[in-house]
Amino acid sequence: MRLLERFRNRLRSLFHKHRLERELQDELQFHLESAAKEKQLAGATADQARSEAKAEFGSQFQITEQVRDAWGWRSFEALRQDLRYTARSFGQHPGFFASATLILALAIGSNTAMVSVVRTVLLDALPYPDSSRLVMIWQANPQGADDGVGIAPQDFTKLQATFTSASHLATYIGNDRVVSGTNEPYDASTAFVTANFFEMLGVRPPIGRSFNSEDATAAAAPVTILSHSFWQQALGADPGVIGKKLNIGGQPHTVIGVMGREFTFPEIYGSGPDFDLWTPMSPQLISRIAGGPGDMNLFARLSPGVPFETAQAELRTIGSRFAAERPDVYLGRSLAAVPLQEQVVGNVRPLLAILWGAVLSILLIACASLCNLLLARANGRSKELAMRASLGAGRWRLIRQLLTENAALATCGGVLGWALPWGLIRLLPGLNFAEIPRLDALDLDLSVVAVAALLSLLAGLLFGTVPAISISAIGTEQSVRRTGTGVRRRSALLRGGLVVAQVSIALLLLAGAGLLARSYQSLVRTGPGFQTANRLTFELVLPRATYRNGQAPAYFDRLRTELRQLPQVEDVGTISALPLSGARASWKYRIEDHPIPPADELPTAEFRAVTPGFFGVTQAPLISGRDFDGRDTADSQRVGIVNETFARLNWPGEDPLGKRFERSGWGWATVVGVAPDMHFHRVDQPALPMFYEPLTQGRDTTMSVVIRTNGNPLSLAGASRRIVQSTEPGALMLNLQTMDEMTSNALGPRRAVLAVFGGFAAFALILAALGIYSVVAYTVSQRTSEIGVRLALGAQPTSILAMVVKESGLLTLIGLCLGLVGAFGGSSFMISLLYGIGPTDWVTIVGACAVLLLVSVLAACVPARRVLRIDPLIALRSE
Amino acid sequence: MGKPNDLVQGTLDLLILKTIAVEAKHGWAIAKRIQQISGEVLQVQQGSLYPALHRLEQQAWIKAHWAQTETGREAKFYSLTRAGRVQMEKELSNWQRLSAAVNLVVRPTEA
Repeated sequence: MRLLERFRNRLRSLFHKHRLERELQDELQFHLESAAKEKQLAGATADQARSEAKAEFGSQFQITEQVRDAWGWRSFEALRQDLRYTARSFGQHPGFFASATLILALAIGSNTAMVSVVRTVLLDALPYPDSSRLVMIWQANPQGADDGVGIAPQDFTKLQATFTSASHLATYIGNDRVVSGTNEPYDASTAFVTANFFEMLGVRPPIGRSFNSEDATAAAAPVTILSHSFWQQALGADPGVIGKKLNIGGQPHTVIGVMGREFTFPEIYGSGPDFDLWTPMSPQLISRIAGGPGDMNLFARLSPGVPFETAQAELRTIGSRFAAERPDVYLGRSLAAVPLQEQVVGNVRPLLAILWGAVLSILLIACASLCNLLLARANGRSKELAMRASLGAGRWRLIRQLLTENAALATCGGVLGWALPWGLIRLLPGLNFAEIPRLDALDLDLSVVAVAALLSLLAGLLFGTVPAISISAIGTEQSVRRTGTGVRRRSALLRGGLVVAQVSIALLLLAGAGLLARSYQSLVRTGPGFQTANRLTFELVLPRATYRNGQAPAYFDRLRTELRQLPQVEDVGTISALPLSGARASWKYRIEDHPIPPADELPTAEFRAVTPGFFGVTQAPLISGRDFDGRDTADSQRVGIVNETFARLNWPGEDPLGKRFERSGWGWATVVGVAPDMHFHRVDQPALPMFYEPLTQGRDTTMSVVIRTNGNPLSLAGASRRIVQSTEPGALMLNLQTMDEMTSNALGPRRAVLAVFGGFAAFALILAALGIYSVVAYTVSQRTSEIGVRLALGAQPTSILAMVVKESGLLTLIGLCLGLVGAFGGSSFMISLLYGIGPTDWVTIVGACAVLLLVSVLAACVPARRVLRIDPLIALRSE
Repeated sequence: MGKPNDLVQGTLDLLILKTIAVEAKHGWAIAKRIQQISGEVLQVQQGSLYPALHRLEQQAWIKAHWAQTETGREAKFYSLTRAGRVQMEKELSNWQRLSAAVNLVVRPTEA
């Protein structure tokens, strides 16, 4: 408390200087008057009394000075003086000031931005009440939850009845429908959610009401809840929207609620589905789409007081029961829960850690650079400092002056560095870091400002203290004319060390950027294994009751014929689950004539049912054999197409055509073709072994349609929807999108990370070059007379040039060695971001070293060329 | 006659704090009061008094306000803050310890 008051007093005396002075004079005057009055009372005349009192009082000026001391202005005065010197000195060297500020701003700015990203993404709780109790439920392999494999719809219903650890169990299905009844028909991204979905999240629409269980019954009048943005964009934020009728996918729905502006749907794979509106999911709908081996994103809120471990154990028990009931679906898997927070941010942690490492390196290298710059200034200032020392400035006073300069630099850099993330944060969400969730929640607040301030302070200390002490030593030790060689040598050693540090950090960043670039390059070269441009896809769920017994192939055949008649359509194919859609469908299999392992150890491969023409649509032509065609019917011999990985795995060195394999429980199929590898799971992971079978020989009723066009694929959305409606009104059309959209998400984040890393590496390279440049320039200027002697004695200028460059080359080499150690140690952290190369990729590392070496030689040569211009006579005379 | 400079370092602070402990006083009155109470032995010089007052104010041990004196003139009155009271107690006990110790040394021995 008292500290605060004292501080306030200090401030008051600083800011109300004039009032205080006036009051002091008044106070002293009062004293004088009182003294005079007393003397008058004792009998003196008025004049006498006044002059006597004045004489007794002593020097009013001296008292005033002493009181001012008590006010504590001395330190402020000194600070002001320091600041004035600082401003003057910066004004004299605007280049130094600008570059130092810029370097600092970039370093502090990138760190500040990173801190706010990390805080928002990793540390902040999800925007739902008590969000730590929210989990997602997946099928689990022995290693734990496998978040690619959801729960089969029929098991969802069973789980609802048996899973007691959860108070709410909810799911959603994305589904694009046309909405009319708005200003104009709207191609909306919509979702079916279970009636308890919002209740599970713990959120309520601020306008209107949430879904209740009656809304989800088949007999209920259809209702919908709108997103805030849809309400604003499509309905002009109509305040009377509740009760209004909207036609959604051909069915009138009553609007019952509008979600709040801040509501975000839970993001699972980073990019959150931005749904425009939600409709309740009836049990009928669930059973209608029930069929696939497992495809639901399942959310749960744990009951109050139930620990996560208890829920997990219960899930394991239930999972083993499910697996026993339907071994063909579960294939030895069980069930497991993953906390929603973990689900949302879990897999970006290594990415953020690496980026953070990069920005910290940038901060370090920036501090080293500034340290170097400041030391370089020492040379130019040693006379000034020596002069001030000889005029009586103590060493501490000099250090303080220098520290003030550094603090001013740090402050300027910090302020700019705070403005930088302000821009960056607005830029970041647009950079397509699709893999990093929750970037839209990013904002700068006080804590980020505090971080920027703290960083500038730290940086100021880090880059400022050593040079300040070392410079002031020059100032005090040397006379005005001569320079203390001891101090010189120490400072040269220090600067050499700084260059080594800069080079090694630059190598780290350069190697990192190189690894990312090579990974990206090999990814692009490999590609997903199929063409994506100008292709429209959607999922089609046929009513199971009608199509269960083998009618689906005929329908898809007809659909294909109709779609192909549309203008711009080149070809149409269908597959049971699209690559990169996140869907997995693993099946156990065995190979004819191979030793047969026990049933629970059978190998698994991804299985897809396709219709003829799929490989043509994706332009992934078969490597050998033939595509499925009209010959392959339900009654004909079972056939299959395997991918390269499958063939290599099971028939190494043999021709797979004509070989036979069995999809567990489905009978032997003969291989009639070999397809190229396609990346079905993730672009940056190796292709999985796969086999395809004709739809005619399976029972799938949910297929993804791929339409190859020669124009804008989205322009076909409406026509496709109409054809589906007319051919099968009961069909459900889901996830209509272009194939580019699907796959660009897979490469976008890499591009962004690469860009950021590349920028950092370039920055580090520039700083390292700057460091080498300044050291060599310094050496040359210091050794001018020595070089003059050598020249006078007949040395070749080129050999002296070589000598100077060699010295800086030595520093670079030491830095490279240290950097290599760090690169080998650190690159293993990058494994998760690499593709097609190892963390110790020699091409990258040798390349990075070569680039650094080249840059450092160039940076050394520029100032070193000055030795060629040295005239021995002038050089010797200057001594 | 003792001059303030002869006072043990910090004693002036104690004198000031003690003098305004009961009621707020202006600088002149503080000097007068110390002089009176000490039987004219202690005369506080203005050159010491005012820097001391302002130092104590900066320390937040005393606070000042402007008020009218009995003659109707505006003057700056100083009074004790709570922290000042604590400080006064501390300095008082220090002083008592010190003076007792000095007494022990200088008192003529009875042997």
